[in-house]
Amino acid sequence: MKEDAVLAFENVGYYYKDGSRQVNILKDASYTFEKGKTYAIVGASGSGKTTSLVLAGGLDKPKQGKIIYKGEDIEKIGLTKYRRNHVSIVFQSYNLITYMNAIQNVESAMDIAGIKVPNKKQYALDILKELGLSEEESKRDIRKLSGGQQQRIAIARAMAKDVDLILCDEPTGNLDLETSQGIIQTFIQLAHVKNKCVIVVTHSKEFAQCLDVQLQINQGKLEKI
Amino acid sequence: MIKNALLSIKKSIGKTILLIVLMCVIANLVIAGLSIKSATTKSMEQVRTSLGSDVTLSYNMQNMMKNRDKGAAMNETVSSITLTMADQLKTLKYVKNYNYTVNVGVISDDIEPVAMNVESETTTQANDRQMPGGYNDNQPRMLDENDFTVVGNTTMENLSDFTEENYVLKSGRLLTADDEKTANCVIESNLAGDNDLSVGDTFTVIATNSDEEEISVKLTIVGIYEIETTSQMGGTMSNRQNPINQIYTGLSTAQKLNDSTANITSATYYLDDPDHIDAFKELAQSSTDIDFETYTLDANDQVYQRSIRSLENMEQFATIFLWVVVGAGSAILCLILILTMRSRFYEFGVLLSLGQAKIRIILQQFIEVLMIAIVAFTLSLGTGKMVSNVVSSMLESTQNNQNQMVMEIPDDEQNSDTQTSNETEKNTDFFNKAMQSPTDTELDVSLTSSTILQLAQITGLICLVSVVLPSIYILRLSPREILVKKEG
Repeated sequence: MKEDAVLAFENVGYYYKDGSRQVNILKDASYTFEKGKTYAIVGASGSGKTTSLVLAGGLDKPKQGKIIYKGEDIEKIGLTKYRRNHVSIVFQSYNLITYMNAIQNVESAMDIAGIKVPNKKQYALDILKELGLSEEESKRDIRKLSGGQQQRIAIARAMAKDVDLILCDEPTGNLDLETSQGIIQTFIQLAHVKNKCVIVVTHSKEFAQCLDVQLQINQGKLEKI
Repeated sequence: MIKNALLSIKKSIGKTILLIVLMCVIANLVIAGLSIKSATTKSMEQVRTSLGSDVTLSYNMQNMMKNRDKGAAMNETVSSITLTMADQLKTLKYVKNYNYTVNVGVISDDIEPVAMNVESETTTQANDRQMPGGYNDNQPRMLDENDFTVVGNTTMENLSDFTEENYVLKSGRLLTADDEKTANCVIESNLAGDNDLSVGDTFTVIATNSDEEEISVKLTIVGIYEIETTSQMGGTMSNRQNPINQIYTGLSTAQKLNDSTANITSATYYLDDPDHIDAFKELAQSSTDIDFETYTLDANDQVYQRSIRSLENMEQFATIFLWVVVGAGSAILCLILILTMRSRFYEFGVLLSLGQAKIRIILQQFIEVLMIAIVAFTLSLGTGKMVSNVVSSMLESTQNNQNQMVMEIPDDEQNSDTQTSNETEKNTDFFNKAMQSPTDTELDVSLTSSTILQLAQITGLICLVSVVLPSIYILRLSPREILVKKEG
């Protein structure tokens, strides 16, 4: 495994049963993701983009093969521990906890990951400010914020964990063009400035082209375009 | 986790209030059940204690009645208690003191009995009716021919009527063991008043033995007592059955009138502790040659059983009630929490995707429910006493109605020829106490620290059950399923 490698798919297979029929999503998929780069996984609906992300995020186990994080099988690390300490996921529908404001959502993720900083609230606020949210917006009821603002909070939550691997599932799917461009820039900065590995699943070819590497799933395999 | 629980509670205030109200209702019902249960247990202990630690050796009236029903004559079925028999028991373990009693029907040419139709000045509560002391079957006279009952005792110091202050000494003194060889007596104030008697006066009583020979004894009054809690007797009772016409003497005087130094009417043993009653009875059966088919050791057992019957019913009701409340409460809470959790399905998915352990998610749910329960618990401490009083009043009212019905239709044991049977003083006490039992068993429903502790434990248990069961649902979830559903 390369020195900069963060995540590697090793002959990963995933399928589901549709009655008696087995539908293969991934088959012998192998690929290595590195630090400091942004990756786009593109493809039609049902091609296995989201499944790849789910497996990379430790939200499910592959049926075959292994997913290696920094040289160690994530199942050996433990999926819960892996999700807690090594990966951040940004979802299309933000997946924020609605009874918490922006600051509390970020703090909550830090608590779960066991991030220890002198002033947790200020730390969360600083990240939110960095992503363009004011203090007033950060304290507002989360349901009263726009989609773009909520997505920024989701990204802030991912950043607050300070992990090397950030996974994003259609992060701009619900956003307008201007907001989407802002979000794309954020991901690029995270990879290029903060040396993170950012993997984005997207339908948008324009978005994909902005990123360093474009991948597609062809007959269950991850291939560079 | 606590911070998140607080935030969740604060955010979903409607659900929180609903849960507080529901838990308050459950906690109040639990308090009612626990209070009644503890009160009935306490009352049963009190009934046992109030009946004292005395055990009386007397004829086995139940067996006697059975024999009579089989056609045996009274005189053939009834045997006297002998001093030899009674003395075997007085030395047994647990016996602190004892008293032998001899009852003899007598007449007197010097004094007149207080007639049955003369209303006494004492209270007239129906429950306080006082039966007379026993009478001696060895007496050949018909009951109505004897105007007085001489009640001879080893000592008057332990007689329950005096220790419980049903009878109160007005002048002079009571008889002690020192009066054993004297002809001293203690009489009732109405009898003394009607006959112009006072302490120091004398009068003669006459008994007739089985050979129709008259035995007379000149008695000296050393004390006059007043009956505080008895009323005019029923019309079917003779003069000698009226407690006013009872004359207390030393044992030897009564034995002389009874023309027998070997037999006594009853023997009462005062034990060191009411808890030792059963042990004493077992010891008596194993270490003496007394025939307990013919004789019985009675510790007011029938009164006790009768008194606690309603309490036992109430305790049983409280236990069932508690289980129903705990079961129904847990089920309702479970249902609400399952419904609530369904709406938080997505939140759990987010937490799982962030790496939160399932057990910590369940723990957060438990903390939330526990916080609500603590508020409900505190509130219910204020209202619980009120609820338990209402419930216990309703129960007491129901039980008293049932008791009254039982008292109106007495069983054979109670109305069986009290004029002709040879009941002892204890047996008459039995009737009095049985009549009094509905008021004696009034429940003291109060919130004790043990009730509060039990409530806390039950509340904790309900919270645990109502969180753990819906949590099985959470444990089955994978974050992918939750988030895919949400995304879908």
